[in-house]
Amino acid sequence: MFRQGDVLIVPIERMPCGLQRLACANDCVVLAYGEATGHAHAITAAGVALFRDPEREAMFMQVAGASPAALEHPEHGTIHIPPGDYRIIRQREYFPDANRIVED
Amino acid sequence: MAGTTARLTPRQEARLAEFAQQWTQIGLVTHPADRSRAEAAIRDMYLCAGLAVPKTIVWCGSPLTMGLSRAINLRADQGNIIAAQVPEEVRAKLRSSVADGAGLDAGYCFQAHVEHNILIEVQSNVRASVGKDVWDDVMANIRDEVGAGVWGVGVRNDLGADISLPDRNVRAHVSESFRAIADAQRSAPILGSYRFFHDVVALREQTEKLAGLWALAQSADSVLPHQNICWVSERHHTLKLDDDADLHSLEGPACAYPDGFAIYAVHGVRVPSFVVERPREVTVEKIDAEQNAEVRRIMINRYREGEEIHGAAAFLRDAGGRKIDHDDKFGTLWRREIPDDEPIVLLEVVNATPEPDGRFKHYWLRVPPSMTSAREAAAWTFELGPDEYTPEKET
Repeated sequence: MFRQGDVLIVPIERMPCGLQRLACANDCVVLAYGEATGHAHAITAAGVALFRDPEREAMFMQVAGASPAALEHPEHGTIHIPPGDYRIIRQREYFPDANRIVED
Repeated sequence: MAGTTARLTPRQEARLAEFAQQWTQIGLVTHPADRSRAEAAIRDMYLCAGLAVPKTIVWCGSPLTMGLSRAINLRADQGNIIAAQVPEEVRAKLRSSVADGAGLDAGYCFQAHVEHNILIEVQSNVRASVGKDVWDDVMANIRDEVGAGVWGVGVRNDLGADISLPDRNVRAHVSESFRAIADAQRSAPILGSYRFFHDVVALREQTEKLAGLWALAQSADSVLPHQNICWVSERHHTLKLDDDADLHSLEGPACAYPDGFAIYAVHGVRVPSFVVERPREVTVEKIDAEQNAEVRRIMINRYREGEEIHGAAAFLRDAGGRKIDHDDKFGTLWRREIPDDEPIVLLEVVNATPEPDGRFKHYWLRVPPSMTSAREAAAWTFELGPDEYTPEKET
């Protein structure tokens, strides 16, 4: 389990069914955009794919191949993520009316 | 009268949405009032109710000044006393509408005659002509649809919320004035439903007494109808709603009228203007003094708006909270009790990566009030239980 700022990467046994693969440009996958700062949690590597579960608004990531993928962010240290399947969880904050995703 | 209509025909059914859309638009219009059409509508409304037309029609810049103008007219002997209790900026708005009705005896209040009684009569006529299925169908597809898109009438009873009248009797008299207002534009949900029965189901005779109200809804905001004077209000020129059609604006008033009367609201909760316009004036003292829990919650969210640390985190920092747990790995948990509302509980966390100047940034994340440990709170922010949250690397 890895945490980079407000993004948590949790290893899972296997990918759930019924996921949609998200498009990515130039082998760059973005786990989360920082709406306030414009900074993003991103991986630039071939063999990394992001998926979305349309039922649960959940996000998943697959790191294929033999070597770890580098998750980068301008304000946080780089994290090397070993090959495997992961669930991506954005940090949330409590509000009396409804919880909100933390915007950094 | 034709026999009872048991079902709408497919062709009639197909027009429900058109009426819902049209009357939602009528409810939301922000154009200036169409004064000549409104005055004709008022006369029609009186005639439909079997009444002689009023001697004078007095235009007011908002429902607020309309209610106050009528309150002053009805207590001619105390008019100056009432006016004197109204804040200066409101008094200035009142001058012309008070002058227009001055010296004239308003006579009986006709709110029930022109609005309530006619709606009851039309309702019983329509129900006698259509089966329950048709009635329910039209109410669900027009009244409820339009009602979901047009802001509620509840705010009207609260028109004077922003003006403080020190004298209790004056306050009661003015409140009664606001309650005597006959709505037109904001009765769009029910007026649109009856218009459908009139135009599409051909229940002309059964609904024709609404002619005046239908036209008024399309030309002005509302009226305060009396025997000799009918006060009528301009429409709002600004109207901002959230997705639930509740009054909502964080920049300027959510609803405003030509004479300057403005309603500030956040997701349907009326707040003092400074909470929206000048959040710098929201202080810990004012938050603690606020009696209404919903308003207080909004004030806390607006506290130190625009600063990096704002809202509940800044409030707890400045107002003082109790430290309930500290954990070197997961952070510090703070709590502050709020009268008549749930406590604010915040997790203070420190960035794992230093800033360029070597300092470590602190964040405050609000968590549910049931949290008792920093670890539990940190895990909650990632949708995990306290024992599931075991990050091996954090940056």
